[in-house]
Amino acid sequence: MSRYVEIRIIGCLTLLVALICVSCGDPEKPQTPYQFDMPSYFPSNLNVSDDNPMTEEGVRLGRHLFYDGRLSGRTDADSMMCCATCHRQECSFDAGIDNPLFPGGFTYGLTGVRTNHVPMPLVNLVFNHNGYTWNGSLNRQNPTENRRRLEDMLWIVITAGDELCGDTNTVKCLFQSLHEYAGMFEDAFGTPEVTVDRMGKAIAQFVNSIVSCDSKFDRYLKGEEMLTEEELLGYELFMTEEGGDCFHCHGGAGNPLFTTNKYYNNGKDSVFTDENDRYKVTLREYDRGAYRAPSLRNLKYTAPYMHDGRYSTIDEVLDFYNSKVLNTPYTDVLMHHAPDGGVHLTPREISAIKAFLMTLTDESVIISEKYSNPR
Amino acid sequence: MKRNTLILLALSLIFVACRNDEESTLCSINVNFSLNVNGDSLERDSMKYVNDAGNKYMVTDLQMIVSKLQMVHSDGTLQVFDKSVHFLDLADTSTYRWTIEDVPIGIYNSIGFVFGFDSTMNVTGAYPDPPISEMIWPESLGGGYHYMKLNCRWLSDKELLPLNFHLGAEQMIEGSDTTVIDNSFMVTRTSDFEISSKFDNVFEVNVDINKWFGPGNIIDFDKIKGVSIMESHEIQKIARDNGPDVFSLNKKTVK
Repeated sequence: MSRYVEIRIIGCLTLLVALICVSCGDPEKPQTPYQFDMPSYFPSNLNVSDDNPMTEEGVRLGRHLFYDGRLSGRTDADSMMCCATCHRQECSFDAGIDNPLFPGGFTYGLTGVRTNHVPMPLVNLVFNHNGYTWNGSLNRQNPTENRRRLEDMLWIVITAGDELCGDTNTVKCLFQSLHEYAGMFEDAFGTPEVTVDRMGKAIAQFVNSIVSCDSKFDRYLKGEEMLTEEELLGYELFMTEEGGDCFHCHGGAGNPLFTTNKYYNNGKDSVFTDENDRYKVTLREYDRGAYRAPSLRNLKYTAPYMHDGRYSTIDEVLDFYNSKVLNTPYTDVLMHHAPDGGVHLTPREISAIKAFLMTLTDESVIISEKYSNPR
Repeated sequence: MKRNTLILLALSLIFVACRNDEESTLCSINVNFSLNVNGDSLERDSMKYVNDAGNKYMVTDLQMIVSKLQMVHSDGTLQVFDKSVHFLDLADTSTYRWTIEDVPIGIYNSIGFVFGFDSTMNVTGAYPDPPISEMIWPESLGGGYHYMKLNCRWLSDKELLPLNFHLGAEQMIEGSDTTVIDNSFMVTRTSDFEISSKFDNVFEVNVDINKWFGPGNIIDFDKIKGVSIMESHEIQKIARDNGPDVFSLNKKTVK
């Protein structure tokens, strides 16, 4: 860097510091930056918005809101609904096949309208830079301004007919009237004034704080635990084209998220009737029937599987990839076993892959108090 | 506090106002990639390309890693930007430009870069962030990262088939001996050129996708139908031999 540039930079930084000192009046109550605790092999580039830095206070407020059924804007017991209704901690923040309200894990909004797709688990979203939901419709390139970021999700959920089917002004006024929240908003945003924007930001902070990085496989990568022979065989099959070839879409040791966060048509169907697939977002012909590859962490808890929950068990999923893949012009080319119908592994090999997948179970997400209902 | 702040303010204004007319000895260079097939700009999802074996195909995805830009001064000294890495994605035109900062001005007689990673950089986990983390290459094949994922659909007897032309390192195990072949190669241009802060320093890399498949060593998709290219020593070697012809690197002077 040239000396001239260095001098300019020093000067500008000094000016900035001086302006801050001059402009500061009474000091506001500072927020505490939120600190993640995760292994060095995890991504360091976090998807945190510049106007919504993560703080302890923001995460705390977001956690309260996440679990507060009054997010529906209603206070009657049978009309309350919130994020946690469909994203349960005990199911790794998925709905869960044993959901007491939604049998089979097929979720409905407050007015009985079924959601387009089954919910996705809200884990490790802070590492995702490639859009949200099964088709990535919530993304930075969305032409609609308030459908671009995780912070926008609350507004969508409140107003969607297949979710809370509510009114944002009603929700805002309700939470403004709840004295227990005044202090939390003050701590998080420097003001007790409630806005849906601030609620969305707080919930986004809490959701972003949910990180899975302590499975058996993580401990294996850190040298703290060994895998069994069967689990190691399963990992090798997971990582080879002639095996299960799972890694191209679902990551591996060098991609511990166990998803690329990209969208693929995995050969489930030959006719595409869902209006909310990836094609809806990109209008790319070959994105018909494509959906996000979800993370394979905590599969033990996140049944049912696929965007429409068609598979109830991991065995059904593995059976599909083994011999029921459809080779259509839209099947992603990464499914290069599609012309043969699938990977055609032996029962022993299938069992090994399943054993490996179970090593991605991270109980800490399920039981951690910092992610639990604060009430 | 206020008095000190005002002194700070005055000092900062002096710093900002000062001009230094000394010419910078460092500048940036841009390496622009253009993707094509036989000279025509590459169109995604368009079934209009034919390779030297007569296979008709389309390209659905292309991701590639290039690294370690290096230049040779006119006095023979080698300048290596050994941490320089670039990820190129057909679907994202913003990745078609690779900018390298802090390049010393002067006269050079050679410039080049590594296709993929050489063995010093191709280490699993060295790049934990996407997009490079999404290019992971199996440990059983030597680990590290894919150098390239070229995904195609091609026509075989009227049936549309997938082709994953994925390149990276290989691992050969014979008894207790393990050898890793890194399969990376240099793309180089040798001729005199000047790097200066008086003009834009632009290099153009023409990437002809078809040349992966011939004419040097012909790859016939019919003959490799169903083969796992990642695990094929023969195909990885052919790609390694054909690869240098895929790239042509030229200097473009923009004043």
